[in-house]
Amino acid sequence: MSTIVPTVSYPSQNTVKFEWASLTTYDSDPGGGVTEAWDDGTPVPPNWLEYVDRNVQVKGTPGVDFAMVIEGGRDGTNYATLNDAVGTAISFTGVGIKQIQELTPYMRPRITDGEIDVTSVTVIMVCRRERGGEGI
Amino acid sequence: MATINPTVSRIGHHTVEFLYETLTTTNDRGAPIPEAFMDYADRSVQVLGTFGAGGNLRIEGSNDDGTTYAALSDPQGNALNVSAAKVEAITEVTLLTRPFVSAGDGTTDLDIAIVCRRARSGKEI
Repeated sequence: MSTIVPTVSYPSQNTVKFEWASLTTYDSDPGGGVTEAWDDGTPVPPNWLEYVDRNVQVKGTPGVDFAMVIEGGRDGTNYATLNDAVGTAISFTGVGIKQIQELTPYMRPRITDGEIDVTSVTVIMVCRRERGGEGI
Repeated sequence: MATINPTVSRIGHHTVEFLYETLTTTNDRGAPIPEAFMDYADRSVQVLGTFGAGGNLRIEGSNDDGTTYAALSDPQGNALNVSAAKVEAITEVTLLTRPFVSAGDGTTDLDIAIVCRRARSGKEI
């Protein structure tokens, strides 16, 4: 399993974008039997907690059996699957956009299934905070 | 195919309306609401006009500078595929948001108003 580091950018004053490129499914034992392994992403850290309004887009090639969860946790070690705006666990099976309901100190994408040497997706999480008190 | 530019109107200090007129199966997409309006997070859409046979208007979002779009959702988690005149709230605030006619016929002719509201700032009374 590889952990992909996101590219961080600032589309506007109160918005930050995390982009994890090329999360894949691959054979972790190419010389032996087929052993699927899946990438995850370095989590969004706690210092972005004021950016509370978050949505995530998945694009690229999901491949057969693709599944990818958005996970959150308080300590960067133990994670659980987060939910969308209507309380459904976020598990992408294709490309799309979903709202994230919970705000946890650490948040990451993790592929849980896919197609070896086919699955390759980019995950973009956009996080927005409210305007500051000095805004006009 | 042509992209329909919206008429942008300020409604008070904290609300902006993007009005897209005459979207058809030929001129099927609106210029997206840009990321400069990310503070305007409370968004609703009203769709009016003639849908025609099988007509559908989708509200789409993109976080990758418009390379790929996906359908956004209403508060009940349904994809915003609108097949009859109505008003819906938009759950996700993506960097780009646009209307797109995904199906219809020669009579399809839709007007779409997306109203976006931001919170008041702490400086106001």
